[in-house]
Amino acid sequence: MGFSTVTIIILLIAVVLAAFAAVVVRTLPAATIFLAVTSVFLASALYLFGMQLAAVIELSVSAGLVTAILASAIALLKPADDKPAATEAGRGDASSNAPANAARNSRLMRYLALPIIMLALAVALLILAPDLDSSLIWTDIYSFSPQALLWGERTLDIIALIFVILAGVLGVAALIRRREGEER
Amino acid sequence: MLTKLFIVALVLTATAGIYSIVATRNLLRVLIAMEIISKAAVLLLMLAGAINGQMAQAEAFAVALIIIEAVVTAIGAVLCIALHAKTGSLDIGLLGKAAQAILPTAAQATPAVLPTQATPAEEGAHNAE
Repeated sequence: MGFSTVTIIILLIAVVLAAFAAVVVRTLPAATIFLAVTSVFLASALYLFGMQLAAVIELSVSAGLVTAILASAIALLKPADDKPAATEAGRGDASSNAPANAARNSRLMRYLALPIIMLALAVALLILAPDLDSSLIWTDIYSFSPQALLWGERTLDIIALIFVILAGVLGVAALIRRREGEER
Repeated sequence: MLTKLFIVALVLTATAGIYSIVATRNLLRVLIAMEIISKAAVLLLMLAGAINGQMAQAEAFAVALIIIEAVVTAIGAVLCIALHAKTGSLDIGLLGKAAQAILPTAAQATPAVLPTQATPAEEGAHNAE
């Protein structure tokens, strides 16, 4: 087992742990930071796997842009939204005044099953999953570079992506547009 | 061993995201969970590319997936802000109720939400009165 393989295994474990942390942490800023950490580990794994272009885009878009978008959204919202778990659970009436400890315990109970499910799945998959190491082909059987493939063979994908980005921009513009008579 | 670990890693990552979507009602957390599931999809593309010997193809798909993921996040974040502005909460259950106030097309379907604009004939009738 070479250095690169060991590093990829460590990075895969780190991706899983960071994703788990992003799900179970209590506050939204911490969840966003752990999501960015997941992206960084995934980008490192992509780089070691020989997917340099995807690694750079994962690092700049997922760990950079998406984190900035989520952080901006959290900053624009009231910080109080993240505090009571009762609000998150959709109970905004009398139980929203419950003590913080009760809310924390409720959240703990909700996420208690996740590590158990993940552990059981990991054990089951390590036993049952097929070992395909011998069929792994680390080099491309075609002589395309990713850039040549994207701009030459998959031009339609690029055009579709441009339209997806345009649709995203128009969607954001439509959602934040203020209608006539609406207060600023 | 590496393929087994890859399968375990992508299934566990996807499980964490799916569980979060099921367990939470906070729209921003649902958005983060969707991001985590897309990370599992990138891992799957990596493994599929290595098994088929088509790394460049897998890389092209991974790039497309990452860009689409960013667009979805941007729209989702703005939807969160709009939902919070209208309802004061991020409860995903309120999304349907708040849709009329948030989405212009839904608002057009209910004229009471939009400011009414009188037609010239109606203006004439009012002036006559």
